[in-house]
Amino acid sequence: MNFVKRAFLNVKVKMGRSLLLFLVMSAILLFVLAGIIIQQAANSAVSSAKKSANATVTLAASREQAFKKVSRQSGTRPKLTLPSVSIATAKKIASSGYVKSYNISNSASVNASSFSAIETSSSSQQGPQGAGAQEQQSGDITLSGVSNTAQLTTFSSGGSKIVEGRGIKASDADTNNVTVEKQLAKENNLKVGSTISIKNTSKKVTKLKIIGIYKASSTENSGFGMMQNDPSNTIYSSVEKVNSIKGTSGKATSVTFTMNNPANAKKFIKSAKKQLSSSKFALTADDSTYRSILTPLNNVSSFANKIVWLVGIAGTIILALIVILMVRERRYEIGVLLSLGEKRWKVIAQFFSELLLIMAVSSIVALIGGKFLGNTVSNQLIQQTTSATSSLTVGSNQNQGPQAGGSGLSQGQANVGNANRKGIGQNKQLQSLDVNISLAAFLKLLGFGLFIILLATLLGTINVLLLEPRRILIS
Amino acid sequence: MLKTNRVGYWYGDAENKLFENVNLEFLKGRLYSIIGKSGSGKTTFLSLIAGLARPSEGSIEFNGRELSKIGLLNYRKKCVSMVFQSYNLFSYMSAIENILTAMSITGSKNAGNKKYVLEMLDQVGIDEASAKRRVSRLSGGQQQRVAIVRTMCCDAQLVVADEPTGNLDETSTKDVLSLLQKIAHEQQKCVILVTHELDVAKACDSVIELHQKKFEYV
Repeated sequence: MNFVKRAFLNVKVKMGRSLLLFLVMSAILLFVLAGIIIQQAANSAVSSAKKSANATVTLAASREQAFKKVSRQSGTRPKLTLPSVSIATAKKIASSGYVKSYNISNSASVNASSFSAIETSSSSQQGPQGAGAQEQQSGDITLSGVSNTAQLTTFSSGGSKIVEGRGIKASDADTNNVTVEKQLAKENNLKVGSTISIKNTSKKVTKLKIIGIYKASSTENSGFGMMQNDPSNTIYSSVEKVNSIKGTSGKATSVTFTMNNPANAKKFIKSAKKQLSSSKFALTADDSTYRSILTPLNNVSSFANKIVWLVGIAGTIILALIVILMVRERRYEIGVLLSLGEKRWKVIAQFFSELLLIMAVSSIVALIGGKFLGNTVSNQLIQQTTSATSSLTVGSNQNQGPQAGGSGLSQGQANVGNANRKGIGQNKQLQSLDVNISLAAFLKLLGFGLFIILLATLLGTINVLLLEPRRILIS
Repeated sequence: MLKTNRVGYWYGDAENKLFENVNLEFLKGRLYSIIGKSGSGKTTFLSLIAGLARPSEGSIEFNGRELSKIGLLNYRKKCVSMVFQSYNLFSYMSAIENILTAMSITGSKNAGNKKYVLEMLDQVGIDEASAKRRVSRLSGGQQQRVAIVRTMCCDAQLVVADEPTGNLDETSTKDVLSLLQKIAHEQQKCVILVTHELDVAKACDSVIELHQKKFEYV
C-alpha cells in the first residue's frame, strides 16, 4: 500500500494541482449525479404512471362492421343495427391477467314519470342527431347501467362525485337502486331513499329507489336526445336493471376493461380478439392519459441519459488531458520509481489513488449540489416538455372537430369519452419530478466516477509506462 | 559480482554501434569510475548494468546469473541501486520519507525503521530537522547526500551513479565521493560511477575509459 501513501502525500503537498482536479471532478460528478437522479426519477415516475394512469380497453359493437351490413333500399333511410356484447363473454375476457378491473355498461332511453327531466336548449346540438335512431332514443332520461360507478372514468378522474349516499356497486345487481344527479334531485325535491318512476318505450312503468346523489362533471355530455344532452338527466343503475327495462338479458352496450399496466393494452387486445369469435365487435384502447404522462417523462429520461453520457465522455477527456500533463510533468518521478523496481501497475495505481482521493471529496460536493441541480434542471425540462405536449394535444383536439358527425347512441358515447379523456388529461398532467438522491444513485455515481478516473488514468499514463525506464529517465 | 560478456549496444542501425564486445568484471568492495567523451555511451552502458535497458548483444551476469534470468524488474529491486546527477528524489516528500519509500519498494530488511534512517542521515550531516523537511527545500549537496543514503539504506549490492557530483560544488563533491568510498569499502558493495571529472575519477579504485567504442582500464 506504499502507492496509496505516496498518492496521499502528493495530493496533500501539491495543493494547486489538487484544487484544479477537485474543481473539474466536482463539476463532472455534479452533472453526472444530476443526470442519474433525473433519470431515476423519470423512470420511477414512468412506473408509477403505469400504476396510476389507468389505460382502458372498451369492448363495444363495431360501427364500421355494422355500417357494412346496413341494408340500403331506394327511398328509405339506412337502418344501423348495433349488436350487444354478451356479459358472459366479457367476463371470460376479463379473467385475463392484464385486467385490473372491468365495468359493464348498458343504457336505455326512458321517460321520467313521477318527476321532471332537466330541460336544456342548445342550438349547436340540433344538427348531428340521427333520425334513424329517433324511435329508440326518444326518452328524456338516460338510464345508464353500470357494474360500479366508482370505476367509471368520469368518477375516477374526479369529474363527477358522489355527494350523498353511495354509488352503484356490483351488489346492486337485480335491485331497483339508482343514483341520480344533484341538479335533477334538487329540481324534483328528491332525496336518498326517495322512490321515482320511469316509463320505458313500451310505456311500462318501473319504480326505482334513490340510494345516492352525484354531482356531474361540468363538461360531461351524455348526448342522446335534446334533453338527454344535459348531464343531470343521466341516472345510474345496475346493468341487470337496464336489461330488464329494455327486455333483454345478459347483454351490454360496452364493457370497459382497466389494465394492470397501461403498456399491456395492445397485448390484451390481441389476446381478447382471439376470444371474440365475431368481427362485429371492436376493442378500442384509451391510454391517452398514460401516453400524455409518458411522453414528457421519456423526453426527460432521454435528456438525462444524454447528460450522463456527454458529461461522462467530456469528463473523461478533460481528466485524461490533465493526467497526461501531470504524467509529463512527473515522468522523472515515474522513472525513479521504475528504477527502484516498482511495478508498473503500482505506478498507475498511485495516479489512480490520487484521483480517487480527490473524487471522494468531490462526491461530497456532488451530493450537496446534485439534488439542487437535479431539481432545477428537471423542473425546467418538465415545463418545456409538458408545454410542448400540451400544444400538440390542443392542436390534435382542434383537428377532431369535423369527425364528430354520426348519429344516435354511438355519437353520444363518443362525446362522453372525449370529455372524460380531457378531464383526466388536465388532472394528471405532470407538474414535477420527485428528484431525490438514493443510495442506488450514489453508488451509480461512484461507479461512473471510478470508471472515468480509471479510463483517464490509463489514457494518461499508458504512453509513458510503455517506455523503458531508461528512456523515461533520459527524456 | 558483475560481469559483462561481449556486450554491445546500438540505436536502430547495427552498423552504428555505440560500443561492442565489452568484457568487464566488477568486484564487490571496489569503487569504479567510467570516463569518456560526452555522447560516447557512458550513461547508456550504466543503464545496461543498472537493468534499465537490455543490451543489443551479449549478456550481463550478476553473481553468476544472467540479468535476463533474474528479470530486470527483480534485478532493479533487489540487486542494484541508482544515484542520479539530478538527485531524482520525490520532491513532495521529506528526506526521511524518500528513503523509507525506497526501502519499502525494494523490500529492505530495515524497511519502515525510521530511527535507522535518521542515524544514517545524521552520519552524512543531515540533522533530524532537515530530514523532516521537504527535499525541495534542501541544498543540492544535501539532496545528493539524501540520494546516496537512499542507496545505503537499500540492501542492493551494486550501486551505480550517473555523474553524482555533476551539480555540486567542490566541498559537496568531496563529501559525496567520500560517501561512495565508504559504501564500497565499509559496506563492501560494488560502486560504479560515470563521471567526466578527472579528480573524481582518480579518487576511485579503478578507472575505465570508453574510447572509440572500446572500454579500457586506465
